[in-house]
Amino acid sequence: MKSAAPSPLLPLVIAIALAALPGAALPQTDALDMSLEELLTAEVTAASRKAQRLNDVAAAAFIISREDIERSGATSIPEALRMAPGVQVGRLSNNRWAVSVRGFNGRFSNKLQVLMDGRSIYSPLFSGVVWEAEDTSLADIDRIEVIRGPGAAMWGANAVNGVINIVTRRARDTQGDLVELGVGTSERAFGTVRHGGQVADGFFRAWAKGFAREKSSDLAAQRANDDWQAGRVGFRADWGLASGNRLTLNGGAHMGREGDRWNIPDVTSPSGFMPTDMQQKTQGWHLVGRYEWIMPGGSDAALQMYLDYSDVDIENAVREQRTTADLDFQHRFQIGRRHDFVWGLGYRHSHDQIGAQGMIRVQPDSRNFRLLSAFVQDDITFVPDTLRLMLGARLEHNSFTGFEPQPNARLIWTPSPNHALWGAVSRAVRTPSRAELDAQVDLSAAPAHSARNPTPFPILIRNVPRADHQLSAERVTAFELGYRHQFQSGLSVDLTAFHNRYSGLRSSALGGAYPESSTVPYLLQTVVPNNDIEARTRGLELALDWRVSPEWRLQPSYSYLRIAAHATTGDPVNRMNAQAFERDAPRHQFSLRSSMSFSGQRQLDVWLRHVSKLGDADMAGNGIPAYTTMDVRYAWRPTKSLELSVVGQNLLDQRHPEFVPVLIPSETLQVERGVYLKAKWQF
Amino acid sequence: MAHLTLRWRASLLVWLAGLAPCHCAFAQQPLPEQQAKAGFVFNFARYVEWPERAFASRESPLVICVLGRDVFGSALTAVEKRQIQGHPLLVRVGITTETARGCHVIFFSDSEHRRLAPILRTLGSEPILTVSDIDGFIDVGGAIGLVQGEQRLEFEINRDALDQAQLKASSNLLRLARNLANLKGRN
Repeated sequence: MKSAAPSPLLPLVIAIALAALPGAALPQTDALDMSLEELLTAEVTAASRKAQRLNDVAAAAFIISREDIERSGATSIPEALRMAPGVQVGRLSNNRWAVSVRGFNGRFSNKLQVLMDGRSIYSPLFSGVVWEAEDTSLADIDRIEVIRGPGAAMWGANAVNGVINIVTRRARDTQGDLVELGVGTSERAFGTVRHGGQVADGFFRAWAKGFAREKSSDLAAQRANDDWQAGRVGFRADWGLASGNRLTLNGGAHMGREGDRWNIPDVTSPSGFMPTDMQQKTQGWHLVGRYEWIMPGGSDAALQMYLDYSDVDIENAVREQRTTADLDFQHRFQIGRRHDFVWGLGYRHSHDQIGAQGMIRVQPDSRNFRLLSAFVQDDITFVPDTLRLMLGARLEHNSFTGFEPQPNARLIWTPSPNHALWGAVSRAVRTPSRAELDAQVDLSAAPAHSARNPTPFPILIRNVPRADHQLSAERVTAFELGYRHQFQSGLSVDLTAFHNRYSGLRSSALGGAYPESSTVPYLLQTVVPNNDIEARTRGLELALDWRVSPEWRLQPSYSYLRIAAHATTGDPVNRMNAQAFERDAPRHQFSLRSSMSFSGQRQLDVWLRHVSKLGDADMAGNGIPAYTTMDVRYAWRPTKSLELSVVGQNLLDQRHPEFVPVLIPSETLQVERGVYLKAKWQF
Repeated sequence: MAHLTLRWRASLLVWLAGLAPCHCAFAQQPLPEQQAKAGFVFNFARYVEWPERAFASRESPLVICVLGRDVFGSALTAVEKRQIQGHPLLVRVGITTETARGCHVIFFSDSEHRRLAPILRTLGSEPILTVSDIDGFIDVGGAIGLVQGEQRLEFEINRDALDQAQLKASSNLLRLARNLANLKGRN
């Protein structure tokens, strides 16, 4: 596999883009002389809104707006997340992604909390997000808030390295009808319909979407088995009741079929594995209700409840059915002008039923997980609009590891509305997943007389649960420092530096070895999970947003990440695991987005990305070479209600791999160049 | 070496070239956000009628206040050269709830988003037009909320809040409000 150097076409693209720019700005019309009708139709450059809202946040926050999603051409949430600095997104296939923040990436990367309209979509089975089962109508997303660094005090356990908060639009903002249809190469076909209307003094929308994706290819450029068909329906209804009380209901159901190919460890095979086509079926539904009201004295309270059911069925391997009920209360009040308090209580109950066969076994096959949590945060204003201190803590009790206190302290200095300096120290924990506690998984097989196994018998390596089915939580202490500045010239800068110290990271060590026999005699070598890795990470994230002119916006970002992990024991498996942590995330990531608008009717967007290598960049050693790629979108709005767009994705090479699957032995696949056409009709 | 095939380059070039002549006339230069918002605030004041008791005399000024950080700068102070129904306009920035009496219009800037509910409650039934671009402003009892539409600004009106403050909005203003336009079954 060779690295993808930037195409010679690139300078040309930039040159044309520059040529297309208008010259000197025309004199401004005075908005005070405009009528309401004129103001409503005038195009407005929303320069500061996003940046200003972020300016007084004492955390490394980045907002991906609806416009950003639309203009990126992204067709799924993980693809859109590539826009945020400090986020690592590796596409494993056309239906699977590895997404993490500040390192430790993997298909089930487990240090990230992800919420969609207040509902946690983090799976207790893997402590990760099953991205292929989580989606929504992208046109209905208002924004995706990406908060890097521990957010545990506010968001709860597992927000170790970050929180991703997906917020959909209010039903009031999606009135009328919307139809989106698209066809393409990788994106074979997709469509969304939405209707918004009114119901009993409130607003609602109902929508449905469906898509079919093509297969990509493996490392030998042969067709893979990763096609994907999925359908999803959903609704949201909002009522604004008297005296500022609000009620929101939202729900959805989904169904999908995802293909995969596993290299199943096999002691009878000369290669040590048997490539096997797998079929995964995912389905589920959820219902969320949220009531917000104003208490006497003007404080705000919110009560939220949800039910969630999910069923992930990988035929002939593993099936997990899970039902979760969650209740959450929050109350916010002010004492004088100095203290802004938020406190809350939460309870979650999750019940699973797991059936497994073949290379995976899970015992017991059913377990309940209960989580009780309480948090408090005081936002103290020392100097109004200038100096604030936030002290927060969360105390959680969970069925797996017991009490977990998670405090944090944040200080922010905003000498002017467009200038901020902040620092934070926080602690967070990651509770072990159901799979880590209870799963037995065949990891690999080494054929006899091979490089990895000189003995005359094949060896099967199997992860077995600990005898007591217990593991500790992983812990992190994080130090962060950030600086933000919006210059008058339309340039804003957001810089964050961090240093994280982890202890008790989940690893595994050699267990016993036993002679076994199936059709052939072989040696069974077990490995047993433990918490014996410590790690330190440090990094830097820079995001710029430059309004070159009212029509042209440039958004470069750069992320640097360095991980040093070491095993606290001399065990060889432990040491290998520590090395794996060091190569799971790229050291450098660079992204440049250019968005141009022409007379409000045409848009040209170019998105260039570079990701440095993973590991030793040698595919045999589980590495991935550096790659550079580019997406281009051109949109045209012939009438007010119709938009046509063409999007080219991963244009700079025919195909490239982005990540090597671990844990579940899927084959490594390549992301292919693709083009799609989309029509969006709003009426 | 990863590279684009010829066919690809050709097709990419063709449609990029199609863009190049787009030096086309810009129908209208986009408005900077602060200016557009100041324009809206000025227009809201024009289309709202205050009860007589809100003014000491026919010539006393109509006071537009900014609560919290001044997000407008010179974009709003420019209205001071103008008049509405004989009232000269006056802009006061950096006011607090304690100094809000005497304001006819209050714009809540982003920095106040945490204190909205209590402040709106304190204002009670004072004849004050409350305006803000904070998310969900009219849901917590504000009168007019500015919201970001598709590259445009739109506004929403809370009629109960206007009634409570004894303000009369012209039918033109109500007709153009995003939420009310829908209520009447027109889009």
